[in-house]
Amino acid sequence: MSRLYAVAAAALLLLMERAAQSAPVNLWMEKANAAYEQGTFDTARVYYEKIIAAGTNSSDVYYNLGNACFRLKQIGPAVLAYEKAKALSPNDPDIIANLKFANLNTVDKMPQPERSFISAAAWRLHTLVSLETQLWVLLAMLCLLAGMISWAFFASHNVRLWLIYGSALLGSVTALAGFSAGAKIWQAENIRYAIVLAPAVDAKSEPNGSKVLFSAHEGAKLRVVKDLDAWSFVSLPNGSAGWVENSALGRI
Amino acid sequence: MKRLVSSVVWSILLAGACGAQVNFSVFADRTSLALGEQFMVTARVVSSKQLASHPLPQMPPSDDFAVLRTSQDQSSSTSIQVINGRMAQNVEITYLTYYVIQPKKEGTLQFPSLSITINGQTYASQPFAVLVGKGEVVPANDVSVRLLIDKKDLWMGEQTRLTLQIVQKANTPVVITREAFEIFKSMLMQKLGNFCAVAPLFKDGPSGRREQINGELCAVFRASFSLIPTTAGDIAIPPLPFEYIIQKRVQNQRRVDPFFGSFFGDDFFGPSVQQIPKSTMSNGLTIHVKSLPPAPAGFSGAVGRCGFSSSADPKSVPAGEAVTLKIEVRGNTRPNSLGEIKLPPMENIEIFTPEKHIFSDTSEAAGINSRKSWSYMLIPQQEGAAVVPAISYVYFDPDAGEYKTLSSSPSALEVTKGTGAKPQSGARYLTQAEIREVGSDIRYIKTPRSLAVRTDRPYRNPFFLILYPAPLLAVLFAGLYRLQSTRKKDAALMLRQKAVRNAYRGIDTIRKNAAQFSPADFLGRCAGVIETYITHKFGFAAAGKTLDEIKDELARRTISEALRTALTGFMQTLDGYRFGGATLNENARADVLVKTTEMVEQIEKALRKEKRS
Repeated sequence: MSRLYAVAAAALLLLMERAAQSAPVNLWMEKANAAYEQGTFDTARVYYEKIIAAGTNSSDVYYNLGNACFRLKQIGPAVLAYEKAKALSPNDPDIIANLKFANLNTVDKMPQPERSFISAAAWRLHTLVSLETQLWVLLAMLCLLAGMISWAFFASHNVRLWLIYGSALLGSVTALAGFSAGAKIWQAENIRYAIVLAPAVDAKSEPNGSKVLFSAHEGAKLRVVKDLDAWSFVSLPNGSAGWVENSALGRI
Repeated sequence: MKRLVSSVVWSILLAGACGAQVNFSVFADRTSLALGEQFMVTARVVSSKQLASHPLPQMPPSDDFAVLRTSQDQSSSTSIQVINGRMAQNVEITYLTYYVIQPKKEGTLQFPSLSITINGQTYASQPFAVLVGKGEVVPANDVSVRLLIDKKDLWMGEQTRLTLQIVQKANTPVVITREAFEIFKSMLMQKLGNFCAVAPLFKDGPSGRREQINGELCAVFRASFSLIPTTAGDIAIPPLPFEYIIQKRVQNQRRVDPFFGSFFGDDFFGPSVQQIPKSTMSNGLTIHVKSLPPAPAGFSGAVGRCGFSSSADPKSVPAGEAVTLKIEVRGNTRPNSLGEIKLPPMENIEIFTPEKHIFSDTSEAAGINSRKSWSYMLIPQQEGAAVVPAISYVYFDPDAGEYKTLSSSPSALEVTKGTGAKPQSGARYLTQAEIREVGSDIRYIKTPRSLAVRTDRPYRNPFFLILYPAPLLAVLFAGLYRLQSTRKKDAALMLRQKAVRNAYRGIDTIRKNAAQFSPADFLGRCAGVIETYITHKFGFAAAGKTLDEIKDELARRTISEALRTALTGFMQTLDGYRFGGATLNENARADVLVKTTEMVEQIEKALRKEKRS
């Protein structure tokens, strides 16, 4: 009952806020955090969602929303919020830790692919920085490379030689960074994931079909291959694939 | 019963009347000695509260031992602990009573039980055996060295005490040096090192005191060693030499000089001291070491008198929270010999790697005593009843000559519903590896001062769309500029290289067609050849410039003053004839052409010369 009152009070507060037309997301964030500290996670969740609805795409807000959902024992929404936070700040240690912790509470354990040492090192380099940071670094490297090449056009023979060597080296690194950034962009554009929000969902052989291929439980991360009306064709890391209803999924 | 060390008997009881915790123990500094020697028995009472008077344990009359004298001492210690903000103070008051005892006869004598009554509660020690031998205690000479062992018939791994006893008659001019002791010690340890684990029980050296032995006052030095045999069989310690020095006062026997004799030859400087090195042999010893009988399963490797305790706390715990299981093993052996505890598997209980603590106490009276404790963190995974099963510890008791097993009783745990995980049946709590990886809970929320808005598709940022082509454009621009300037440079170079040839060609053309040109036209063409040559050679447009301007341009290009004057003079002459309406015959025209050619050659020569220099 007290939870209901808390939700009602939060909703009233939100209405008042809306009437004021102030949209102060930082103030909402403070209120949400205060509610979280007081243990009224429902209220905190409403505020966090309001901030997101106002168009504030912040990893901190998604992270806090994940925490509020986790405290409310809503593992699916918590994992979804953490995944969204991770998409914005892929290297934030708090987000990674809480996502791992939330995943421990999910029923389905998705095995991670085993990597060789070289592959693991390459993957580590690939995911070392966020895409945004990588793009800025890449831009800086391109500017530097352009400067060196331009200088080489007008430099004396000896200096030109050094500039050519330096440009070759920097060009190689830039190419690798560019390849990595390209892969990330391709992934962002072409690979979509969703989190199961329902307690359990059956993946079927066809939309509205009756044959169940596998079941996924709340918090499971599925790859969305394609969509068809209210259905999504999803796959698991082990290769299993099937159609599930969109209403049971939350898109990352 | 023979004991390698002093017999220690603990009687630990609570004094209920006043609430003071009392601990009473009795021990002797040695239990193997010769008739006529003395040993010291210490009675220790440790109380958590101050007692009304110093307790004096009662020793019953004995036909075997005589109490030569007694003395008392008292000390206190306070320790303060702060646990979870609570301060706890622990006070211990120790009352010591020392008895100097002399055996009255030879043989294995039983030291009687001492008793004491505190606050109506009676505490009593257990009797222990004292081995009294014959031996030459009082040295026939000035010094005697003896090796005494508490127990000669040992099991492998059993600890015994070997005592080096040096007795020196009082008031004899004998000097026993530290160096002599160290040499003897190293010889002894070398003899035993291959068969035993030997560890000195003293810190700074042998302890010395004055004792009455058979009524004669002697200085007695003792140093004890812990001996733990590692191989079975007989270990023989041969007699070993011990060096000491006798100081002898001698009168100077120098030859007396007839002149100074009266001064240096008298006793004014006193007699000198002569140091005479001497040695004596210790007694030999043979120790018989028996192999252990076949060991039962689970034998820890410990040989000695061992104790064992275990406790689990708390008894009631929510699922997913920790219970601490403490296990302690103690024994009169080295820490390594106590072995390890192996916990039996426990259903629905996660067992974490324990914290291990090792304590070792070394004293001359008790030898090496060790204590090993393990603190396990157990996490029940499911609510309901859980049991920590009985834990066993198997060791070899050398006194009984058999293996013994110490066991704890099973501890029942009540596991209530957990708070941090799924409530349904079969819910899985975190495993040890998972807890190590992610901690025990989610991390706290973030509280930034202002929200940093980010996008998961930063590559769509217009800044990137604008800025990314910029480096490429910069390179393209630089390349084009470079290409253009190269082309220009190449054209100018070509013209410069061809300047002479073009000049000669122009002169030839004028020569061939000289008849067709009017004098003014002829002279104008000759001037034009020179101007074109200068333009191509020096990279500036000479046509349209005055002679002074041409002169200045040439000066800037480091053409010598003489040549500049000659060139401008020649051009001025041409212009003079040209605009003065001069008529030129064929010879004059040929002469002008020759001079024009010479002028070009002169300039070329000057440039070559300048280039060489």
